[in-house]
Amino acid sequence: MSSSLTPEPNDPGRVVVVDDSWTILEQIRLCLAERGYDVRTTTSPDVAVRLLRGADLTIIDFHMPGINGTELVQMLRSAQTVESTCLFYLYTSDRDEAARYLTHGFDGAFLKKGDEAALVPQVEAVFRTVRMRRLTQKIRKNRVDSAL
Amino acid sequence: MKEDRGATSSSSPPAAGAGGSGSTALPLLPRSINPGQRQRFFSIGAKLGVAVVMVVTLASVLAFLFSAARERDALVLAKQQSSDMVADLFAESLRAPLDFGDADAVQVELQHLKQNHDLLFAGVWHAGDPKPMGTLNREQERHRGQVMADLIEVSRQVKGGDGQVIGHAKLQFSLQRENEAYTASRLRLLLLCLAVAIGTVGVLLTVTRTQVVGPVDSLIAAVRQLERGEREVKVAVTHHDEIGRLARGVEAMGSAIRDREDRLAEALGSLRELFDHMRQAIVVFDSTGSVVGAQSNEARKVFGLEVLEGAQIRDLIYPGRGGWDAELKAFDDWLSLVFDARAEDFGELLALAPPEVRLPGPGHDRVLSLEFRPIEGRGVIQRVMLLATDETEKRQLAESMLAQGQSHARQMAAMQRLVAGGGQQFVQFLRGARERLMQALALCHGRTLVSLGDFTECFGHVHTLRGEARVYGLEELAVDLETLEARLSELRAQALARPTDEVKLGSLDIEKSLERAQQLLDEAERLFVAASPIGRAVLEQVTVHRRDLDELCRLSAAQGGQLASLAERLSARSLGELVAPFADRTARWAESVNKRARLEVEGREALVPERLARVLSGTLTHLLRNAVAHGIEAPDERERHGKPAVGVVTVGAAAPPGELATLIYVEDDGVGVEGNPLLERARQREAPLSPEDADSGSFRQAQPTSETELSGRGMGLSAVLRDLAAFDFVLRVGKSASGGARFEIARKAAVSARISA
Repeated sequence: MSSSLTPEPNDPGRVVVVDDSWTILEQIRLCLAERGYDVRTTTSPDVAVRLLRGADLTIIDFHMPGINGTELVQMLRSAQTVESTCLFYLYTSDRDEAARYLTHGFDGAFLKKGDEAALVPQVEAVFRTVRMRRLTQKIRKNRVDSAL
Repeated sequence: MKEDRGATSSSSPPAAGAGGSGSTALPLLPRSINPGQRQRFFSIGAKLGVAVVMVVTLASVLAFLFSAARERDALVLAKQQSSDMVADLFAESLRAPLDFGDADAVQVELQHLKQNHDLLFAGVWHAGDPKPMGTLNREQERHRGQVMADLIEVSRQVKGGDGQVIGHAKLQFSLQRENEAYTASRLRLLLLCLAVAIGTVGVLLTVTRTQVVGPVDSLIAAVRQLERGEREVKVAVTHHDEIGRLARGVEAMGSAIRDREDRLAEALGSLRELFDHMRQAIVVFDSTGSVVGAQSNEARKVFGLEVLEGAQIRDLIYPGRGGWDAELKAFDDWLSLVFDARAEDFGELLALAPPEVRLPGPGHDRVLSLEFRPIEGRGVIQRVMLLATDETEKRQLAESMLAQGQSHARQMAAMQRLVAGGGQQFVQFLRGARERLMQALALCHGRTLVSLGDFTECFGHVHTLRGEARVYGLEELAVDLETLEARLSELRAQALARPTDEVKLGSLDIEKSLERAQQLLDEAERLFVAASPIGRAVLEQVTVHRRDLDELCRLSAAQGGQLASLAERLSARSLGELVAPFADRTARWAESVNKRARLEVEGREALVPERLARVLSGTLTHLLRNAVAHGIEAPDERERHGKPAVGVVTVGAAAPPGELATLIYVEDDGVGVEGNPLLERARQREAPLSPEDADSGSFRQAQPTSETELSGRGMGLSAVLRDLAAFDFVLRVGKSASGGARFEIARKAAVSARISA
């Protein structure tokens, strides 16, 4: 694996994971923390709101007791601060559910729930997107500066 | 149009497709010749024809006008000369009649003139008399110049014998005949000029056609052939002139191009061969994300397409991914950025390209590692080359290393990993999963109808459990639960379609599935316990902080009694946990001295007092190395004695139920201690080995042949005995049931008691 896969050492990406199973949360936490991400997990929507500050990516389970993914993502988005750029991804094994990600209010979906080998590249891809956004802003700023 | 495109079509030689440059190659002939974008075409022949007709016509007209004028002048001049002659003769003949004033004679002379048919008028005047003496008048006398358009007038003075003018005569001759002759000859001239002009034009056109236009057409055809990429170009021009030279030049150019093409094709062929022998799939794509140019064989194989050109790169590396997919999104973003970037930003962008991708394949996913290389031009990325390496086999090899053996072994390995990674999580999962299953079972036990709320709860449990089972690699359970989940999903859909709030479960298959899940969980637990170095104790174990435990021991030691012994038990460690690291090491030690040995553990759940646990590792290291070096025989020797080639070293513990271990033993099935006087003596007197014995040197002398790198120099035993003594433990030596050596670590007090008994 090349160095680009791991988060930047001075800025490890922060991932929040919301699921009703601690077992799954623990698996995701171990698996992502091993790759250098700052992982925060919770089963509680209220805690998720608090964890949102500074997060780059929030991974949400769809079927949870008392609340479903759509409701949770709405709740989190409304609690989001203006400067927050956190992306919300649905974590599911159901392709049809994934295809409705926009309707559900997500930025995208991770398929193959429980498969670590599949999760890691997907999370890495999100962080590439995040870094590309930062890079684009930097490039634009440089161009404007040099134009001035 | 067809032949213009032909140069870049697939039927053309490989050069046309080389690097996609063929599609942008400049045509040899200007496009204006193409009928598709036709501007008005003027053939050289036509231009020459028009020019020649104009020149010849002009020349003919001028020649005609000039010749006609000359012809007429010549005719008139001849007429004038003959008229002068007639006038001279006539004036001579009038001398006598005028001298005599004889009007009749004048008249006779006049009548003589009648024979001249061209004569229009003749008049004779006597000098001084304005009235003519006689006239011959065919027409009216006209007073004109000497030479007029249609007549010539000639006057002569008639002189007498003395030279005096005695009269004059005037004659007018018609030019009608001359004019007619002139008209006739003008027509002839005109016809002649026309004939000459037409002839000249014809000859010139024929010459132009055969010598210029025709050969040029052949040249054009040859150049077109070249343009189409035809290999043999022969220009049908045999002239030995400039055009002939040009034709030979075109032929030479054709063969030069052919030569260069051949060399290029050869180079391209070698390149392609190199390309195809590389284990990388290579494709190049442009800013629209379409694959362009040549691709390697491997690329066609990896991406499963015969023709890759024109395919979208995102569809190739992420087939079947939906818009939700993070990897696809990231790649799209990258693609849009990379072609817009400046040279200085390349590095950063390339680091953001996907490093690998999993392609769904028949049976299993294929893993491709990806490498992107920019093809730069004018400071920006023009194209990007993708080098994809199929790493599937490598990964599979790695995976198969893990998956060697049967499914049981595989699961065992998974369980061992679980244990190594902190088995308590799995224990928690087992506990939680049981609870979930119980709850789910309680909700549907013996019922055919359940409320939607209960059903949803049950569904939720199954869903979560399925996810967790997959996390822990319990594939069978996960697959079972997945099937159950699908069934529940169906039932829910049916229930939602009805107006009731109840779900019809129908048969008892759901309950049965849940019960089977319970059985699978039990099976997983059994495996887990088997994999654990501390056996069932793993299910009971909790992690506490060493500091707290030490504090507890310190406080309880002062109080003594039950609390102290409970604290001692709490701080004790299981034998299995302490021995686990030696399983591999023992086998390796044996291999290093060309022997084979394995370690077995008996009573791995036994609790080893914390004080002993601290020194046990060093003691075991010594005893196990000793067993391997001096106890276990070489495989061939063992076989000679009828023993299995692999020696067995056993570490075990004896502990009263619920109590700490009182005895830990290490025995082997090797040669025993008979050859070692020190150990043999100690064995016979059943007394523990003392550090003094070990120090005395007799121990070392006793085994002069076995000083291997494993056995050390006898100082290890001494140190071990001192360590053990410090915690009131002693080491005894004996004989194992199989005839090998047996070392026992026991409390000093217990041994002394037995000896005294």
